[in-house]
Amino acid sequence: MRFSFLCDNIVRIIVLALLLTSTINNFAQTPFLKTQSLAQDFGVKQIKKIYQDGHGFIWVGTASGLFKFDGITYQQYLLPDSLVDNIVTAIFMDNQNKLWVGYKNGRLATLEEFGLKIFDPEEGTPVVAITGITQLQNGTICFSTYGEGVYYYMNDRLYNANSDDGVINDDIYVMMKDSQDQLWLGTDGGISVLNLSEGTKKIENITTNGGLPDNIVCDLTLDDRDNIWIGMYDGGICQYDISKKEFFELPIMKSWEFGTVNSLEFLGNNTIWVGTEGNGIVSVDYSNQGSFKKFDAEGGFGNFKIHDLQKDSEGNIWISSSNAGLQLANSKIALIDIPGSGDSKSIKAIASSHNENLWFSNDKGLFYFEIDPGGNQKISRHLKGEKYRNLSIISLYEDIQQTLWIGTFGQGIFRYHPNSGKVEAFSQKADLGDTNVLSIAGKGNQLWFATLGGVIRCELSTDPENPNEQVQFIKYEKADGLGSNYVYHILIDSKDRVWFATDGNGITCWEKGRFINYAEGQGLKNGKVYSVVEDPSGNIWFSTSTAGIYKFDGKNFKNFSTKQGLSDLSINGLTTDTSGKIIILTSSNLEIFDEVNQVFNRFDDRYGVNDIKPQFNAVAKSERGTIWIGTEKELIKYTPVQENVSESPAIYLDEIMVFMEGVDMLNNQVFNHNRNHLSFNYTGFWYQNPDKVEFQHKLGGLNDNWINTRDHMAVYSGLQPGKYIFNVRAGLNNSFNNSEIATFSFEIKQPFWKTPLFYIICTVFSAFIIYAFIKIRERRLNREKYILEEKIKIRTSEIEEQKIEIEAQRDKIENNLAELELALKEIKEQKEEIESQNHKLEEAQEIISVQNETLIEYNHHLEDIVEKRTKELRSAYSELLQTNEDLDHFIYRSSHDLKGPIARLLGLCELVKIDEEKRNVQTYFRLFEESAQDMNLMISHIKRAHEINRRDTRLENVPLAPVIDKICYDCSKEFTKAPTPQIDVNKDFLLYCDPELVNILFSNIIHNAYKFSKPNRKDAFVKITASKADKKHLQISVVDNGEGIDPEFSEKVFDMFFKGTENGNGYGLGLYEARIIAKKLAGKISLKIKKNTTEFVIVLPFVTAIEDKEEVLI
Amino acid sequence: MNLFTIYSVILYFLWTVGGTSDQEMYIATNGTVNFKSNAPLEVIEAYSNSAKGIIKVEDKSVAYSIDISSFQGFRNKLQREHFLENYMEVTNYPKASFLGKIIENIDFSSEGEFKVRAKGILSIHGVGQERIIRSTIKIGQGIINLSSDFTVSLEDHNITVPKVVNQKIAEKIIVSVNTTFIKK
Repeated sequence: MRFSFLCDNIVRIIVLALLLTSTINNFAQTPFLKTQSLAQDFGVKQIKKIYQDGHGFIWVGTASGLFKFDGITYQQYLLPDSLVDNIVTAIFMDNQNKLWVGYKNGRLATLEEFGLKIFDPEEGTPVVAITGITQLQNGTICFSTYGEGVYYYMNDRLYNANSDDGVINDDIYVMMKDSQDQLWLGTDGGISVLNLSEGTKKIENITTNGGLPDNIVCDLTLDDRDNIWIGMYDGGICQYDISKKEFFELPIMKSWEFGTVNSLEFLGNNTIWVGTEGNGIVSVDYSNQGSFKKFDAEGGFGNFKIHDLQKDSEGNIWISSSNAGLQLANSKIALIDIPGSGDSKSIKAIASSHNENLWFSNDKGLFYFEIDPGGNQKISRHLKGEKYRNLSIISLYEDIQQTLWIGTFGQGIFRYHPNSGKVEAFSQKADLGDTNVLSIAGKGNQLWFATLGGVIRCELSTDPENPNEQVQFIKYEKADGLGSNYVYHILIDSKDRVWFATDGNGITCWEKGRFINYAEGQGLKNGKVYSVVEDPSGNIWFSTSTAGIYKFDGKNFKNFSTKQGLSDLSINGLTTDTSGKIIILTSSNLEIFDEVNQVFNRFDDRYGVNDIKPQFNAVAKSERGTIWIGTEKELIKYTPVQENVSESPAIYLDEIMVFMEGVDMLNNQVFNHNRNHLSFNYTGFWYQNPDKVEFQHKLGGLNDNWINTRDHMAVYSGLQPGKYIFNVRAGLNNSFNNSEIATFSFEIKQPFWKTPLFYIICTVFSAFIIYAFIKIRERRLNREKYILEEKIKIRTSEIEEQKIEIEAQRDKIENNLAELELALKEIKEQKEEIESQNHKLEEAQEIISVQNETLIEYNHHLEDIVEKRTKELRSAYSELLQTNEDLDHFIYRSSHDLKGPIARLLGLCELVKIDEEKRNVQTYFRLFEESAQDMNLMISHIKRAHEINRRDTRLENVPLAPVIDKICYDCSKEFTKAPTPQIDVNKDFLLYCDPELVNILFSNIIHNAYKFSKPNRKDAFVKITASKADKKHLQISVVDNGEGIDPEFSEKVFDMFFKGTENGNGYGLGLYEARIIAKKLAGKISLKIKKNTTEFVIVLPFVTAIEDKEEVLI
Repeated sequence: MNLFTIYSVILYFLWTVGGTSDQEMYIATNGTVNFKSNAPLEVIEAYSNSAKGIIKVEDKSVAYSIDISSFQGFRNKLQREHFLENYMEVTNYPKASFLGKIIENIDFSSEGEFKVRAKGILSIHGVGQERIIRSTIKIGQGIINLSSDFTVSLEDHNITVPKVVNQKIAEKIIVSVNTTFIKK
């Protein structure tokens, strides 16, 4: 039957098997410890003091100076004097937020902006170690010393209270202030209670005589009920009630074997941690009889010297020990090592036992965890027998009779009596059917067992003598109303209802004998329910396989899943803590669900624990609320949070800067409009897991959304004028609902030119200006008006004066007028005189003008003469020029022409020279002679030409006709073939000229005509006519139709030595002479070339009448 | 602390001197005390050379006293008169004294210079004030030289200054003491 059952449920079984694993290991218990890196990073040897200030910073006093820690970075502060020791023995922040630091050499310093400043009052400072610093309500700062009693500083004076004043001993180890402002001094000789509040030193002493176990008091601490706990050198710890003034010594202290107490710290929950001189840390639980729990070597404590313990605002304990430097202990979490190794360690079932002990099982076996009164924790193995070696224990429950019920996988139910060792097996008796017991729950005498074949209810017998005798088992199955026979978990709630988490059919509730099932139809999304738990308010919470967790308040189901922030849907177990938060064990982690704030917080994010792997339903809660969680490799003991401890990171605004300079952190500051770049530096404190701290900030007035960041600085720039509030808060895991918000409110002023004030001023000002302007104008106008009026007045008076004057003058004028008439008459007479004189003047003027004209005429005449003369001079000049030119020409031509014959001559000479025979001498001489004759002729021609020019003209009347005739006759003689000339010359014509010259002239011309006529032509003629050119001149024209002259040469022919043709034996002087003569005779000669004829026209002065001599002279 | 107490204390010291001869002590009979009031309108200074004191080695106690009327060196007689009659009321409170203990543990047999503090009651104008006064002691052969500078607040000792002259008298008077104690 079992086998078939197995087959049917093979899948479920395999799943179940996979959920359970187990290992065994050695055990140890330690609080969850984190070693801080201070010692490593800075080589700090001794950490003497740990202190947390009001903002949240942790200050560590070491032998290497003062350190400030915010969870991430350390900042070291050393005294400015480098020669002096920096062994810090006391730290305190006063009510003005100024940090005081005390040193081993008695020095005191305060921390300023720039660093530590030595505190050096007039009275001087101690020369022995400062062991404590605190401040009274009235502001007095107190310093306890080891050797000089207590100093207190008020009103700028340092005072002292020591043994001379009644303090029991000057060597003070610890100074603690109570709620009444009294100073409790733990000294080498007892406790002194010093009251300075009334200005006097009121001292009460407590010593061994008064019940103090040991006079050497090393540390004092207050608990939550205003009792003082005293740690002593030799007496362990004891408690003192301040109001009752009574000692209370824990009985257990009689067995205190841990030596000298160096430091005490109250944790809450009736627990005190004691740091000892040579035994590490001992946790003292003073409830009931009290118990010790020494944290041992495995966790890093062992037998080391603890210098100081300090609790911080999160509830963590800071530990300074001689071996591990600075450590942070999370007292809420303790990790307990368990027997087994590897897989066999993994815990399968746990159940809380009486006295805060615990039963747990894994593959290695069944174990019992307890802490003996001596404080030692013990894990002992039970059921060691061979019989039980293969027992697979998957559920446990301790009943009210302190017997352990064991549910196994395949072997049914066992009942174990630890005291006697007796084991009862109930598989057969109970007629269980299925022998796989997944869960056991109980209340009072009732027990319920969950199996794979339904649930079994059991009633315990009430008879202490025979506890087993009448144990009744009743089985319930699906048929009875149970949702499913496969039940994972059972819960009996505060109302005695029994809840069953079923596989696939939701959750079933058994109330007053009836089953009610809530499944997918009733509001569940998923029917596989793994765990059920009840919260302090009575709501039932359960987890499903795929739909997260549900809350059932009796009527409705509310689901919380990934949408709300649950990170892992595979949930292994559920439990609640005393504050009502739901602790969810997922396969990878623990989540704490805070329903009030609707937020899931990862356990390890909060506490810095790594990688928890809780096992299926391996969770139990003790009577006192301690939660045990069985994981893959250890037990986690989670002591819930005490009061007065922060649950979320604290925020602290470090610094606010405008542009790059810091500003005071006073609220409601007003900045100018141009100071609008603000940066905010902040720190979040969460020492348990500082790396996980996240921030949100927003600037109210700019945006209303929170900005998430991990930066420690928020920068806002370019802010417009307005009112702003900067908010920042720190949180973990994106949950900020509980976090306190640090704010800074400020305002950026409108630039002055935008403020209403400015506008008003402008308006007022402009109104004022307008008004002033108007007023000024008015005034000016008035003034002008006034001036004008004045002027008018003046003018009026002036005018009146003038009027008088004028009247006076008028009289004067009348007188003058008469005089004037007389004068007028005189003037008339004078006028007549003047007129007659005028006449005379006119006559004279006429004469003058006539003379004037004459002069002008004469002037003209003179001018004409001058002109004539000028002309003459000009022509003479040009003549001279011409003469010069002619001379040049003449000389040129002469020499040229002479050259010819000369050359011939020379040539002939040469010839003669050459000719050796000289036969032709005669010829030669003849030729010489010819040439010489030529030359001679030429020269005589030249001479003749020259003479013609030079000679004075003898002017007389010369009849023309005979001259012509003669010449013609001569020519016809010379030129035999010449034509007969036609002569037409009036016999009366007389020329007024030089007869010789005229002869030459005509001779030349006519000669030419003959010479150049074409002898053989029949119609060749030479025609000579003379006529009157004008009144004074005759014109003689000689025409021939001979060879003609090239028109080109019509002017050149008259040039000296010009020969028109090469024939002829002239020298080219004929026409030249003719021209000269003509000029000389005041005539002229010109040439007219026609197609066939050549005509020379000669104009000469004609004598008919000699009129003006003047003309002749010209 | 009134006159009677001061006297009796000093007498007690002297008595212990006389009584037990192995009590080591050093005595001064003409120690110098200077004081100066540095006010905006006036500076008042004076000194006295007739301060008396005792240092007892066994319990490190120090007793020191001076006659107020022994102060001299004032600028003029009127100033001195005011000081004596009006402010210090010398007829009622003729002496000023300090009675206390040296805090540090000094080995009086070793020579050298030490910076110490004396805690005790400073009594002026009939009013005693607990003070810690920083001093330097030079220990030589059979002598101890004690010098210290401290301020005395007029308010502490009920010395009232009328408003009319409060620009002429400083609220804190600078006092300096220089005394040589000879071993007895």
